[in-house]
Amino acid sequence: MTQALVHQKYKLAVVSGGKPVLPRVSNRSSSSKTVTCLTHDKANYIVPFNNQIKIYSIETRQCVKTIKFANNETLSKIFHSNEVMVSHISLGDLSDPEDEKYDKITVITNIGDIVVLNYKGKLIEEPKTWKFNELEVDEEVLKVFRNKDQVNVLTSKNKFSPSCSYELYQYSEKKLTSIKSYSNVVISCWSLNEQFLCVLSKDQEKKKTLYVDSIFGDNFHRSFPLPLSGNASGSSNTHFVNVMALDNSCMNLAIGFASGVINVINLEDLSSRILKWHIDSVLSLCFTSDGSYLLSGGWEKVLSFWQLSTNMQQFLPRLNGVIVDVDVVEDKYYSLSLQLAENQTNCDYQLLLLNSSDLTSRLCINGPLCVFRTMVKDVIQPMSAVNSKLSTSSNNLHKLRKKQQRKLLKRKRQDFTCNMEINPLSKHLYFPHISAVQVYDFYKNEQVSYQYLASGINNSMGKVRLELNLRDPMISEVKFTKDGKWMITSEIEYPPEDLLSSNDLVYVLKFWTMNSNSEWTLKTKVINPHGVHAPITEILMAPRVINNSYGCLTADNNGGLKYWSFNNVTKSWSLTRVSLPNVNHFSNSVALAWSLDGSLIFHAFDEKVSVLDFNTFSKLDNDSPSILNEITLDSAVQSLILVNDRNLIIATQTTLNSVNLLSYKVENSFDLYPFVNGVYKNGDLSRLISYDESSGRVALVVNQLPQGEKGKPALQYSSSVVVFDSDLTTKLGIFQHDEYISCIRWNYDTDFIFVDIQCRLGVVSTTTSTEMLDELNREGALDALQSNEFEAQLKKLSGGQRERDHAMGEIGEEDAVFEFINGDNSDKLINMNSFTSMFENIDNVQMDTLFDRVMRVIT
Amino acid sequence: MPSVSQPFRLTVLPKIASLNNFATQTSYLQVADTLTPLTNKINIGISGSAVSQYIVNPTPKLVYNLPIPSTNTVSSCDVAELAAKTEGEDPQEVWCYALVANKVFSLNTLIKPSVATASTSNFGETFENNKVDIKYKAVNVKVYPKRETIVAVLENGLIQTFDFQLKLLHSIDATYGEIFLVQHFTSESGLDFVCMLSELKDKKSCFKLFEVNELTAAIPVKELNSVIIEDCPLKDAKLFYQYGKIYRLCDAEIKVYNLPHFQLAQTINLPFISSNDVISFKAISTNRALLTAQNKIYLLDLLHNATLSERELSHVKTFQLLRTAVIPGNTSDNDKTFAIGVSTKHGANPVSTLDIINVDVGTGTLRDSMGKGFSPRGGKPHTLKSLLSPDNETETEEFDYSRIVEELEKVGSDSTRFDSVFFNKLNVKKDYYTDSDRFLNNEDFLEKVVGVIFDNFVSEYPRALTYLLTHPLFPLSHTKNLLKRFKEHPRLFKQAIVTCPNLPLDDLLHELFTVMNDELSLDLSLRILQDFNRDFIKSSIKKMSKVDTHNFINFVVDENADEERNRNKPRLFQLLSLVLDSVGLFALEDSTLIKLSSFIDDQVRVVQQNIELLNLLEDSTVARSSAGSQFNSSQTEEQVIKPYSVQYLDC
Repeated sequence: MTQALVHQKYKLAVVSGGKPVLPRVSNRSSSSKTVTCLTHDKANYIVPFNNQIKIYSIETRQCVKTIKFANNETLSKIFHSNEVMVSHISLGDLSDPEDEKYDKITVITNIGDIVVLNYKGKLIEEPKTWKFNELEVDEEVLKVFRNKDQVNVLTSKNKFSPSCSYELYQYSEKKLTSIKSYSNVVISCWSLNEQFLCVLSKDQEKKKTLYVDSIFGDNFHRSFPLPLSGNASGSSNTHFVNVMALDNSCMNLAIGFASGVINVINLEDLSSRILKWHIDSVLSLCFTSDGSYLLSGGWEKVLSFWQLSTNMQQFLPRLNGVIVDVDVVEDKYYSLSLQLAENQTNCDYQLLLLNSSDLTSRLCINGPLCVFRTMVKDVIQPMSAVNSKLSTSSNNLHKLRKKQQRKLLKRKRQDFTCNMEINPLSKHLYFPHISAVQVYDFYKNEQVSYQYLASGINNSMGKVRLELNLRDPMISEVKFTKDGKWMITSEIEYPPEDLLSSNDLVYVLKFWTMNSNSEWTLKTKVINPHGVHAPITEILMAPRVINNSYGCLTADNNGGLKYWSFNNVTKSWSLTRVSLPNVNHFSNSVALAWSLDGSLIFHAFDEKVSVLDFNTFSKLDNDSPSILNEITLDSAVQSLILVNDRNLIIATQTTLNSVNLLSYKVENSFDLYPFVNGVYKNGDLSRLISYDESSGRVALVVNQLPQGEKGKPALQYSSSVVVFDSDLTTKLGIFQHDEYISCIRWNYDTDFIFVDIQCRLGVVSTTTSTEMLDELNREGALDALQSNEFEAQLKKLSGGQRERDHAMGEIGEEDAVFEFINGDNSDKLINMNSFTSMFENIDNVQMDTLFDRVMRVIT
Repeated sequence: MPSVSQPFRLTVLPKIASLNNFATQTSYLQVADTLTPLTNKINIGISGSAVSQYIVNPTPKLVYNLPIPSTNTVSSCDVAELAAKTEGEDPQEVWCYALVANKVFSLNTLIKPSVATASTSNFGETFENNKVDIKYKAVNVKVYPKRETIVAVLENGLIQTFDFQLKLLHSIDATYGEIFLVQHFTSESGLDFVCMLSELKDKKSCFKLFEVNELTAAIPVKELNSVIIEDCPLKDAKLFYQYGKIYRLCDAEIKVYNLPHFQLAQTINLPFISSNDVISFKAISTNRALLTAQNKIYLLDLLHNATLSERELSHVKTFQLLRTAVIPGNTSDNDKTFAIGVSTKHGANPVSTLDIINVDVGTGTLRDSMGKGFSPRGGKPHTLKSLLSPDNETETEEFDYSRIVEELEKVGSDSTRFDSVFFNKLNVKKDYYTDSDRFLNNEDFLEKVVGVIFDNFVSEYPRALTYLLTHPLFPLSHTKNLLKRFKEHPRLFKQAIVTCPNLPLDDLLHELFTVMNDELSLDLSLRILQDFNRDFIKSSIKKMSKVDTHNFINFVVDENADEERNRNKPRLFQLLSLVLDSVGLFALEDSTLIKLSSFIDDQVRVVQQNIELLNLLEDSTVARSSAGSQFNSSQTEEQVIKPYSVQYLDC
C-alpha cells in the first residue's frame, strides 16, 4: 500500500538549464548568427534558449521572465524538436500593427511558424499563432525585415549544401509573395537598419559576384565581382569569405576572409582597403550605425574596433570565448556571441551585452556548460584557417556534418555522459569545463561563477591556427568533502602532439578550499599521484566519521589505491595510506564505496570487488570461511554504491545487482545488458547512477536510441529514470524523458537532479515520501551513528523543564511542550478506549504529564 | 574480532531450590550495578543466603559475606565507594540492599571500609548497619555516594530518597506500579537521571524519565517526561537500557525505543530463538547486546542485525545473564569487558553456579558484521529481472533451478545425457559462456551443478563442465583443489587456468612448480601475475612448505623460439625475480645457480652489445652530420634546428 503511495510522489520535470541558441549558426551563408532583441522600453533583453525564451533586465542583470516552451501546449507543439529555432523576434503583434500595448513579441521560427507572445504578466493560454504556408519543404525562414508597416521575409533553401538559394518575399495579409531570388548564395549580410541586403554568389565557373540590393522598394542595385585580395596564388583561405557586413548607408561593405584579412570596399567607387590584424579567420564583423567604426572578432578572443576614418584600432581583450557574432543593438549596446570553443563536444555559447559607451559588460548569459564524453549531434565549430579538433577549415566544411551524423548513427558506443557534482553545502552544481569549473545555481537557473582550475593558454587569450592543436589541461573529476568546504579535482595535462613524449600525460590531484571571496583557492597539488602514466580512475570522499570527511581515496587503473587526508597540523593534504597496485593487470573499470562507519572499503577492479579493512588498508583476512574478501561478478564492474551500510549495489556491464552484505547473497539483479553493454566508456555508467544518502533510494538512468520510422534509427534519443528502494526490491517509479540524460546526482535533499545533452536540467523529485515505516526505522538507526541526538534532547528536556519551573503558572508553556512532542505515531488509531489510560491515577499527575498524555494519544 | 569466551566459575550457589530454578533464579540473584571492564569486586545479593562480595582477580574469591536469614530474598542491591574524607583514612563502602521476608519489606545499609587487596579478609567483623522498614518492595536501590543519598524505587511507584542512615528525605509518586525496569544513568553533562517502565492495563506501558538532583534543590527527584505507549506489554519481555535507548525483547522480536521520548526506532526479528527457550538479554556495548537462549550465548549487533559471535555451553542446561559491564565499544579496550551469569546444570536436582564470561565486543562496524546477518531473506532464488517493464524487453529467461538439478542428479554418470539435459534446459547455445547466458546467474545453482558433476563423474567429465569453467560465476567453493582434480585432464586443466575465476594462489603456485609442460607453465605464470599483486605472491611462496623451483627456473631460463613465450619474457622475469626473492638464492642447487648466472651473463652481454651498437650508430650519424656541415653549413642547420615555424598571412 505504502509503496503505491510513494510511487505517485516521485515525479520528473525539466525545470531549468537550457542553453542560449544562435539560430542561424548552422546556416553557413548567413553572416549574422544571433537573434536577440530589446523590449519596447529598451530596459530588457530578450534571448532565445533551446527550451525557453528568457528576458533579462539590463539594469539588475537578472532574468525577469522566462517563457518555457514546455509549459505551454501551443509552444511545445511549435518547438517540437530541437531543429526548430527562433528565426526572428519582432516587437509587437505582427498581425495587428495598431496594437499599442507594448507587451507583445512576435516570434517567427525557421520552419515558418509565427506566434505572438506577451512578455508581461502571465503567458496567455492560447497565444495567437499562424504559419507561412507558402514555404517549400526544405525552405527555412532566415530573417524577417520590417520597415514601418512593410514586412519582407528572407528564406533559404539547402542550407547544408555549399551554396544555397535565397528567396525574398513580401508579406502582407498573411501571404507571402516572392519578389526576388538569389541562387548559389555563398554568403550574405544585411545592414543594421534592415534596408540593404548583400549577397555573394558563386556561379558555375566558380566566379564570385557580389549583389547589393535594397530590401524594400527597388531603388538600389549594384553587382560587381568579388575583388580578390593579395596574390592569386595564395591558399584557399585567402579566397574564402567567412563573414560580411554592410553599413546602414550602404557606403561600405566589409568582407572577412578565412586568412584573417578584412577587405573594406567602398561601394561608391569600388575602391577597397585591407585591414590586417587577425591572425586566424575573421568570424564576425559589424559596422556601427553611423558607419564610423567597424567591429571585428575572431579566434583571438579580442574584440577589435577599427576607426575607419583614421585606420586606428582599439581592442577589448580577454573575452571568455571565440567571438562568433557581433551586433550593435540600438546604438547603446554591443551584443557579442561568444563560443567557448575549447569544448569540442558541445556548442557552448555565451551572450555578452556590452555598453557601447564604456564597454562595461551589462549582461552575460549562458546555460550550464557540459563537457560530454563524445561530441553530441549538431555541434558547429567556428571556421579557422587550419583544420583542428576545435575548428573546421574551408576545405572540410561540407563533409563534416554528414560525416558526423553518419558516425553517430553507426557507432554502438553512444556515450554522451558528462560530469556534474553537487556541493553539499551550497547545493550548487559544478560542471568541469575543460580547464575550468562552472558553478551553476539550479534554483536561480544562473551561472554563479566560472573559475579556471588549471593553467592553459585559453585562460587569458584565444588560440589561433596551429595553437588549436594544443590541448588544454582538462578537469576530469570534481569532488567535495561531505561538509562541502573542500573541493578535490583531478586534471589531465596533455603534452604537445607529435612528440615522443606525446603520450606521457600528466595527472594532477588538487585540493581546494573556499576563501572569503567565495573563490576556490588551491591548498595542495600533487603531480602524478599514482606514479607516472597512472591515471586517476576514481575519487571517493571519506565518510564523516573518518577525519570529519577531510579525506579521500584515489584509485588508479592498475588496482592501486591511495588514501589522502587533511593534516590539521601542517594544514595541508598528504598521502596517508597506500595499497599497492598489481603491475600486470590494467582496467578502467574501477569503482569504490566506503561504509558509513568508515571500517570497510569496497574496491571494484575489473570484475572483482575486494573488501578492504580501512585500518589496515589491505584486504580482509580470509581466515574464517564466513567472511569473503572478494566478490566476483559476471563482467567488469562499472559502479558501486553502498546503501545504508547493508546493501552493496553493483552495476556491471551486464547486470545491476544488490548484494546483502550481512548474508552475502545477491538479493536482486536486473538485466542491464541491452542498455549498457558497449554503450558507455568504462566507468561512465556511474554518472548515470545516484543514490539518496538519507533515504537509501537509488536512481538509474537508461538511455535508448529508439528505432525511427521504417526501422531506420533517427538521432532522437529517449531515456528513462528508474528509482529503486534501498535493496532494489521495488521500483518506486519509472519516468520517461525525451532526451539523452548525461548525468544524474542526488541534491542532498530528497531529489535527484539530472542534465541532458541539450544542457537542460531536470529533477526527479518527491515532496515528503519518507513516511514508509521500514525506511524510517533504518534512518533512525543509522543516524545514531553520527550524532548524539539523545544527549541533545536530554539536555533540552532537562533545560526546558527548568525553565518551566521558573515560569510556573505563566502562559506560554506550550512551545516548550511542543518541542518534544514529536513522537512516533506510526501505528496508532484513536478509538473510544484511547483516552481511558489517561485517567488512571489522575489525581496525582502533573499538568504537563496530563497534557503530554493527551498529545500522545491524539498525535 | 568480537568474541565470547568460555565462562569461568565465580562460585557455586547454595542448594536452595529457587536459586537453581532457571525461571526464578534471575530475580533471586541481585548483582550490584557497578560493573565496568576494570571492576575487580562484584557484589551479589543471594536470596536466602547472604549479600556477598567477590573479587575476580587474581582468582575468584569471596572477600566479604553478610549473611541474611534464609527466609529473606534480596530484591535489589547496590554498592558505592565513598571518597576518603581525610587523607590516610581508608576509603569506605556503602552497601544498600532491600529485603523481602513474608510481606515485610526492609531497606538495609552497611558502611564498611573497602579493602583493596584480596589478602585481607574481614569475615566476622561487623560494621555500621542500618535498617528501615518500608511499605512496599523496593525494586531498585541506587547509592549516590557524592550526595550521600540512596534512591529507592518501590513496587507501587514511589521514588524515595534516603540518607545513609536511612532517614527518609524525600518521596515522589511516579503514579504507576508494576515497575519492570528502573535504570539510573548519568548524561555526558554530568546530570543524573532515572528512567522507569511500568505496565498499565491492556498491554499499555508507561515510560517515565526523572532527573535526580542535589538534595538542596527544590525537587530532588523531578519528572521530566512521561510517555504512555500502547501495545507494549512488559511482563514477559526482557528489557534493558543502553546509551539512550531501551531494548525490549518479546516473542523473538526486539523493539528499540529512542529516549527521551520513547519513540520506536527499529524492530528486529530474531529467527534463531524459539519461544520455549530460557532467554536472557543484556546490554554490552553501543548497539550490541548479549543474548542467551538455553545454553547458547550470542553477541548481537543490533544496528546491522548480525550475530557477531556465538558460543554453546555444552556442559550446562541453561545460562542466564545477570549483569554486564557496559562499554561504549569504540575505544581500544573493546576486548576487556565481561558479563556475570548463572548457569544451571542438567538433571533433576541441578546445581547452579555463578559464572563470568569475558567478551570482546568488537568495533561495532560493518567490518565485524559482514556476512553474519541473521535476518533470513526470501527463499526464492533470484533471477535476472528486466529493468524496464517486461513488454519493453526482448529477452528474459527464467529457469526452474531446483528441477534442473534434480534431473541432472538422476542422469547419473552418463555424460552425453547430462550434457543434453544441461544445454537444452538452460538454453545454452555455445560450448563457452556468452553474453546471452547472463540469465544463468544463480550462484547456488552453479555450485550445485558443479557438485553433481564432481560427485557423479570420476574419469570422464561431461562437456558441461568445460562450459562451466568458462562461466565468470564459477562457484568459489569448488575452486580449491580444482587443478589437482584436473591433473589427468590436460584440456580441462588448461581451460581452468585460462578462464576459471578465483583460483587460489596456493594451488596455482603448486602447479607452477610441478608442471613440466612449457605451455601450461606459461599459462600458469601469466595467470598468477594477472590475478595477484607482487607482495601477495611473495608471501604465498614463502608460506609454501616445500618449493622446488628447479622446474620453473629451467622453464624461464630455457632458450626457446616460441613466439608467445618470447613476447611474455618481461613478465616471466618478473615472476622469476619474485620467486627468487622469496626462496632466496642460497636455497637453489648449485647446478641451477650456475645455469642462472650463465643466463644472466648472456643477457648482460646482449645488453652490452646493444649499447655498443647504439653508440656506433650515433657516432656515425653525428660524424656524418658534422662532416656535412663543413661543406654546406647553412642548409643543414636550417633543416636540423627548427624551433619555430612562422606562418605569414597570405594576401
